[in-house]
Amino acid sequence: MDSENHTTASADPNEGFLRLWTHHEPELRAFVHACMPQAAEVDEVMQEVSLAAWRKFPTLTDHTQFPRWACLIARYEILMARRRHARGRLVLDEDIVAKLAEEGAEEISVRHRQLDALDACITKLPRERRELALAAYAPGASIKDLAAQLGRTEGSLYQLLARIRQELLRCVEHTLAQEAHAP
Amino acid sequence: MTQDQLDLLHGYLNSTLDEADFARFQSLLRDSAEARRTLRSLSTVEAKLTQLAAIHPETVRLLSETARESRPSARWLSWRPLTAAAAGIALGMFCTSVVFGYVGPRVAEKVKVVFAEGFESGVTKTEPGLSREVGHWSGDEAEVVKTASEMKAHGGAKMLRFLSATYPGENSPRSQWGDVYRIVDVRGLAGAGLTATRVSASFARGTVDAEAQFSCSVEAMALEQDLSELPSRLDLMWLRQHSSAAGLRKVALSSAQEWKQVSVEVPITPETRYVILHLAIVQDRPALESGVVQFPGHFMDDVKVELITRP
Repeated sequence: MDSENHTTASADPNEGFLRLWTHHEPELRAFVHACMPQAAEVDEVMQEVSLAAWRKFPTLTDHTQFPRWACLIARYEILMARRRHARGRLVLDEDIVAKLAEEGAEEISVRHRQLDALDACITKLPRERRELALAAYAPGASIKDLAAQLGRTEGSLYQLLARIRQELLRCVEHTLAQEAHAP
Repeated sequence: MTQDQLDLLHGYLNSTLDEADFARFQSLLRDSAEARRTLRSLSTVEAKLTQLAAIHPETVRLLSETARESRPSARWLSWRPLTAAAAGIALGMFCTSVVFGYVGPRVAEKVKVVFAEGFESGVTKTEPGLSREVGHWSGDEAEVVKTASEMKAHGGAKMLRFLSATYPGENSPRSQWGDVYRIVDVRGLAGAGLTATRVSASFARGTVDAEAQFSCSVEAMALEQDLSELPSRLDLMWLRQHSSAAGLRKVALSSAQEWKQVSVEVPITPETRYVILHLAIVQDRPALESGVVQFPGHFMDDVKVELITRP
């Protein structure tokens, strides 16, 4: 109906922002996730990024630059969150987070294509694996509880999830390679 | 990358690294651009699984079934707030809307179909704009067509065909979304207990340019306001800002001539008066710099709204 996402003609800046945010949120979330894989921290950072981006949106003159611009905001919020959680377990050093974020910002279009390809790749997973993966990543799901329910050890479930992730990544790479070579 | 290095990445994602392995992992990330790139890609896989798990009805099935199988007497029921982002929408920053997911066995739930549309009779096309009245299909240009050899209706003999990402009079400079809307009256239908509304629709595309990529989207918004309180010029932004709950699911339409059912489930309060359906086809690629998408062959059928009450 209205201009989808990069609209520069939208009369309502809220609407323009909402459309851009809705469109690019998945790859921004993946970008944040790569720098801090704990789901709760990702949610926290995404909330901060969305608020900061919304407040600063009037200063963005070229809406085609929204993904890159939002990545810069996200990078700052990631580093702030990293400092808040510095005493936590498995918190990456700041220089590594900065490097992941800097390179990740250059790959935002790759993130978009990977997320698109994942729809089909997840569908291709055998049903049992697909359901297991989705159950493991469900909000509030506990690997310990899931392992108990399935009669498996936590370790074997973690290994299986790693294999599923790796399988999905191979599928994504294969899909994108095929697209790149398509006439 | 070696298997040992990949194990470090997965160990990090699983949060199972000990101190020594975490030091090796950090060292690997400092030294290897490939390791950093792979970590970002694996994180993207995780982000997608998290997104789908939060909004996909299939998600709860395994948990529910395993819960029933392993603990037959267990009845665990929980409402879990999802992030707006996980649902693919950003609402929380503007309003008090909350998107919820439901995890738990579907024990003794009551399902009531409150709206079903197969486009078999009555409606012939959408009304332009977003109607404020119950019982009308409105939005961008779309028309009811008969089943044909190149595309058969999902059920019956007719279906809705999306025509354009705008409607006459909108004068949109740029649009890739073909949106249609329907207001469904649910006053007094939310019973005692936890009630959710499930909105589903089936989408398909005919044979279109292989370069173009399309998605379909189902969004449900619960309104507690009376229709007389709606603004005279109603728009999607207003609905998202003022809905008491909302949920959206967007799925790629990758295969031609295959119907894909998409559903979204949103909890509603007993005060909910209306459920707004927002159903859309989106041209994801190529992105337009300007202009409005004319849909070459995109269809919708079998729209259904159910109220699910769980004690």
